[in-house]
Order: sequence, then C-alpha cells, then structure tokens
Amino acid sequence: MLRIDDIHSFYGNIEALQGVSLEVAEGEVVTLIGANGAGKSTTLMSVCGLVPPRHGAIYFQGEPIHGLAPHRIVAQGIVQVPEGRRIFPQLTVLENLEMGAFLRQDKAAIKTDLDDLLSLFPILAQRRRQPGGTLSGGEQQMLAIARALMGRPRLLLLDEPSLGLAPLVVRRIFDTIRQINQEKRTTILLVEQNANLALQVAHRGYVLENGRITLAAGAAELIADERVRQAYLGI
Amino acid sequence: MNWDYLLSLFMGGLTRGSIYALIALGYTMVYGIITLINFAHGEIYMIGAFTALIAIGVLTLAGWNGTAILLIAAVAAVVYAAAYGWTLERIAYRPLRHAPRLSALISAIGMSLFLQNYVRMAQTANFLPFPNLIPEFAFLKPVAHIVRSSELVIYAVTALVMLLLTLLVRFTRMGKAMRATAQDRDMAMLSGVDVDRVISLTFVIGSAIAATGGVLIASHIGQINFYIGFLAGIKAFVAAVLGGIGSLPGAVLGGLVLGWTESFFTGYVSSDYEDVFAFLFLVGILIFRPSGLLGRKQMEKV
Repeated sequence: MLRIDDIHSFYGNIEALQGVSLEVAEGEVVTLIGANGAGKSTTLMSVCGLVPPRHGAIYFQGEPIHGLAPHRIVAQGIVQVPEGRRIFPQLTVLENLEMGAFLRQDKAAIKTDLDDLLSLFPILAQRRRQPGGTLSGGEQQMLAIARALMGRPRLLLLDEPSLGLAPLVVRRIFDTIRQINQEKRTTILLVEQNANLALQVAHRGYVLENGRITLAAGAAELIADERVRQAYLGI
Repeated sequence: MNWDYLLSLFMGGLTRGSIYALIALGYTMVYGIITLINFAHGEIYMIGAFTALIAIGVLTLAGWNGTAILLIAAVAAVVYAAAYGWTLERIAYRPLRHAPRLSALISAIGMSLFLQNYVRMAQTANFLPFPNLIPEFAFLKPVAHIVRSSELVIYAVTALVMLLLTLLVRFTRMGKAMRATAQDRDMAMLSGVDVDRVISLTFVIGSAIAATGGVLIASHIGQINFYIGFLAGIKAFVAAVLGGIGSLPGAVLGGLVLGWTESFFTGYVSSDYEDVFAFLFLVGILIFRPSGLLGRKQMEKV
C-alpha cells in the first residue's frame, strides 16, 4: 500500500534520513522503532509532504506521492496524528473533529462518523463545546486520534501516541489502536519510542538508527532479537 | 457643559474609529495567519480610494450620476484592491515565507514605499477632490451639527462588514480553515487545508475591507492623495496592537478606542498634537500592556 524507496530528507543542511526504504501492506500495523533523533518523525513528515524528500520516492497505492502538496496527500487518504497531538487549542473539541473531516463532502456520513467516535470516546462527547487546549494530555491524544479518524484514513500514521501519558491512558490508547486496525481495517504505520508497547500491537517492525533502517522483521522476531532487546526493550 | 459638542466629538470619534477598525482588521488577520505586519496595507486602502475616484470620473463622463456611481465605484475599488492584496502576497511575501521574519518585514516596508510612489507618479502628488455622493438624509437635518449622513453610512457599513466577517470566520468551512491555520499551520496542512489558498484569501479579504474604508472616508473628508494610506495605516496598526494583534474583536475595539481618544483629545486639549497622541498611545501600550486589550499573552510554543 505504502512503499518508501530510498528517501533522503533534510532539515536545513542536516540529512535526517539517509536512504530509508520501507513498505506497509494493506491491513497491517507496522511500527518504526528507534532512539530519539533517529529520524522516525521525519519519515512520517516526509510521507505527509511537510518535509519532502530531496531524493528517493514514495508510492501510495502504486502512485508516486512525493512532491505533492500536503493537502493533496491527505486527500489520498493518508492522515497523520503528529507528535505532541497538535490539537487546535482555541477550536472546540467538536470543531477539532470537524477539521479532521475537512476534505470530505459527504455530510450525512460525517455526522454518523462523528456520533460513532463520540460514543467510542465518551469523554470527548462530554467536552465537545470546550476549547481543545483545555483538555488533559490523554484526552488530547484521544481527540487527536478521533480527529484523524474523522478523515476516514486508508493509512493512519501515528507519531509517539504514548508520549507523556500515564500508563493507564497509554494502555487505553493502544487498545484503541488495535481496535481501529481490526474493526475499521485501517492500515497503520506506528512510530513509537516505547518499542515494547509498539511491538505488541504491530505485525512487523523496522528499526531506524541515525537515518537508516538497520533491521526489518516480524514483531515476534524483533522482540526475540538480542540487539533489539538490549537497545530498545531494556531487557 | 456643552452636550452637543461632547456628542459631536463622540460621533466624530466613532467615525475615525470605524475607519481605523476597518483597516486594522486587515493587519490583524494577516498577522494572525502569517505573523507578518503587512506595512503595505495602508497603501491598499489608499489605492481603494484612488480606484473609486477614477471609476467615479469615468462614470460621470459617461453621463451617470448620483449614488449609483458610488456603489459601482466602491465595487470596483474593492475588487481592484483585493487584486492588489493578492498580488502583493504572491510577489512580496510568499517567496519569503521560509526566510527570517525580518526579511518579510523589510519587503513589506519596501512595497509600501513602492506603492505610494507608484501612485504619486501615475496620478499626482497633489490633493484631489473626492465628490461626496452619499445622499443627505432628511431625518438627520436637525442634528446635522452632531452627525452627518456620510458618518451614519460609515457606521452602518462598518457594522455590516464586521457582521459578515464574523459569520465568515465563525461558521464557514473557509473560516474554520483560517482559524485552524492561524493556530497551527502545519497541523492545518495535515488536516488537508490548502494553506497557500487560505493565506491568499486572507489578503484578499483584508484588502477588500481596507478599500471599503478608503472609499467611505474619502467620501466623508472630500479629498485624497497618495499619502493618505501611510498615516491611516500606521494609526490602524496602533489600533490593532492596542486591541491585541491577531484578535478580530480586538482590532475593532482598538480602532474605536483610538478614534474616541483622538477625537476627545483634539476636541478638549489640542488639535496640533493629534498624531503625536496616537503614537504616545502606542508607546504606552507597548510598555504597559504589550499583548493588547484582548490579546493573549504570547505563549512559548512547546
């Protein structure tokens, strides 16, 4: 479904991605693990067009998407939940959700999706008229995921969904991620520092080190891999 | 105490304030979205007034007359100024979108000087009479020494423009896109907003509103020249800062407060120091309340 082919992306003169290649098949949950600064977020930003790769190619459903403007990439069904949630602070919860459906025209279906998501996340229903900035971290993360789902993504990119959240909330978020993949059949590319958690929900994983993929394998294999255990699982 | 005099100062302040507010809206909208002080904004207002004057001249030669001309001229001014605003962003600001902020600011000042001198060369450096085509309302005769018909029209149009802008920003899809872009541009892109279009539209709307103000005040005062945009622009900028730059209600409030203080100051203290007063005001705000009356404290982005 998504094929990243040897991309090189830069922040100014710093080459954050030095030839990253990876693939995500339809229906999969694939995780990208690695240390801080390895280039995980940059990979997602390259897919979304916010940090377009200088070399290399990105294909979605067989069509090249590198070089497209971000809003055109979103229109293809690639939606990102960025690191730090990035809730619109002064828009209400409801308006934030509506922004997720910005490119959709099907009013009736938007309404059904909205009702579905509000029943999936009752806390958001309670706070629907509140500005997004007043929500707690966990609530914001749920809102960010719900906002992304409002766009009916074909491929969902999740960047550090566990960051800064209490363990109980993290579990709730990861249950939701699994549920989205199983019930909605949404393909997910998950970036996570907490490799343990990520490998529990993912089918496959890639290890990113200093802008390069150093390991690619099934989730079970990665959990068993001695190097991964030492470097990322802390075992 | 002379109540009629007080009331006339109040009305005069409301007139000035309305115009400042109309121009300040453009400053504050653009600042809200791309954090740029568009110093050429006052020139857009001046170009609006000039366009209307030219349109009125042409239509008068064609044998038209009365209020109809003013309406057509106003539409022409709004469209032409909007096109200027759009072009300005395209050629002077968009190429500098990722450059340091100072570069765009210098570009803005350059465009301001360029547009002033372009109009001076293409038109004239002299004051030109601007006909008042706003009809005299009979019901205002008894209070003509307090409020004139043109002032009443200024209040009404200003209120209407503000109402429309509020509806646009609060309830339309484009309005939501504008607010989202102002709050988090990257996230707006990730939601599918075509941010370039939002920015263009912001310039178009701000310029159209400024041109409306230009036509109204030119009709009221009765003369224009190439330099009117400079002072009005700076004062509207003061109004926008006073209200809290980035805030739409703030721009309106700032405009009105500045209009009234100027009016009462010139009426009761000294008219020689009218302009000095506006700038003293600016210095005062920047010292004591830099985020403005309705502005939020600038938060550090995490």
